[in-house]
Amino acid sequence: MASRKRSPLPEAGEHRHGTPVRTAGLVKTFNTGRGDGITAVDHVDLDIAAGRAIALTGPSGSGKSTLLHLIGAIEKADSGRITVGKTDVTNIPKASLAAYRRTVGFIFQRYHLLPALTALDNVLAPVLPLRVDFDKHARAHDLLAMVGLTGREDDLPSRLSGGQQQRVAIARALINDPAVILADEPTGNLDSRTGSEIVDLLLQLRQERGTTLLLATHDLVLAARCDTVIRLRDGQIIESHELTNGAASDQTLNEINQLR
Amino acid sequence: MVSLPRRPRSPRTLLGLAWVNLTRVPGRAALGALSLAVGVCALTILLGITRAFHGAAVGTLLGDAITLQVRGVDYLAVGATIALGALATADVLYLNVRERAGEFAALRAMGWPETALARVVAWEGLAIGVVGAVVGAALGVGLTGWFASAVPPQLLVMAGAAAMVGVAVTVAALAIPTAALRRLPTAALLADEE
Repeated sequence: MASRKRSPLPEAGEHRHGTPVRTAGLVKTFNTGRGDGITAVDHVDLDIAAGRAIALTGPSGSGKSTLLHLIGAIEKADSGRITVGKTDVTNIPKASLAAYRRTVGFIFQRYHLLPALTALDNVLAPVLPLRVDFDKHARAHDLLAMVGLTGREDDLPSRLSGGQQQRVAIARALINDPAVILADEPTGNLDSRTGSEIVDLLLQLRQERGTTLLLATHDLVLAARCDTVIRLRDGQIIESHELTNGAASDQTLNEINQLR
Repeated sequence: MVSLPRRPRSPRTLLGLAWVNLTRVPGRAALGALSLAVGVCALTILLGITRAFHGAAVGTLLGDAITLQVRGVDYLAVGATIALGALATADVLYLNVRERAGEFAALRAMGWPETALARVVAWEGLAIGVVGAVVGAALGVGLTGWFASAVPPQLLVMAGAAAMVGVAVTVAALAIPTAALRRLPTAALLADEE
């Protein structure tokens, strides 16, 4: 019998510490094509400690997604600096972009699963072109079990509910064991109960793995379950609020309501 | 329209993923291959007449004896046909890239190297090109052999050469869809709020 490669995932309790995320004077402007520009991110300074769960809230167009894209090196900043751990994201050479992106787990509002691949193959998709030093199939199975999808490995996304598809997307985001998870409106297409379950899962994973979590959401109730709520408007941070605990208690909701 | 397979395949390589992608649009992929096959078939016939039959293939058609000869302008016409076939393949791949833009954007965000993304598209193009070239060459050999009632070995060599020309032109045409792939607006595709 063939021997397995090293343990597919860190054991529960074997904390894999996340990574601090810092931005300084971050600016991103989009050209509207009419000669003027829209500043989506306007001199944003963040200092997020490793393993923290941060909610970014604000109306559409406030810069939440752009901020995540800048941290995930999907967009390039016009000015300012981003550091994730020891990596200066703003100065990553083009040849190293893909390697950096693999240290970040992205979760999207619309899941962006490959429709012709099964749940298991979707989880494996990020490592398909790579040689990795772990048993990727064992890890993918473990991750699907972790998100509660044991037995659904061979199902196409079209046979899964929205919540299940988002769980597959979360498992996919974890296949490279990232130190940071960037979740862009992960509950935006889900009903409130399923959305709450997804946030439960993200916070549980954060707790077990020590991953730094940045969650962009419109939903203040879900945001209230993070450690810190940062409110954006017109690309600027207008308030940052440390919450006393991670549960959506009356007290935290009152604190959140003060932000509104 | 993109269809989903009844029995999903598990790709283990980029070539496997390319094949899965092609099977999602079988009609479109077949059309691309057929477009190239027409040109390769014609080139096989021309090369066969020129080299295997020394410039004139004699046969019968509906009871009449006919001699086929090749002029320079015929090669020009066939060259244009092959180029159009390769462009049709490029168009098929371009449409595939546009339709699957969100998937490519997600793969890029997940850390796929640009070369890996391009290789998926290249494998898809190569698969269409090879199928089209082989079908076209086989058709060319069949038609020429049927007309002349002989298949000299040189005809097979010429069929191979015509197939290689078809594949080479298709590979050159891959520059169009791979350029489209590089230009995909990754962030905009991923931030598609409803």
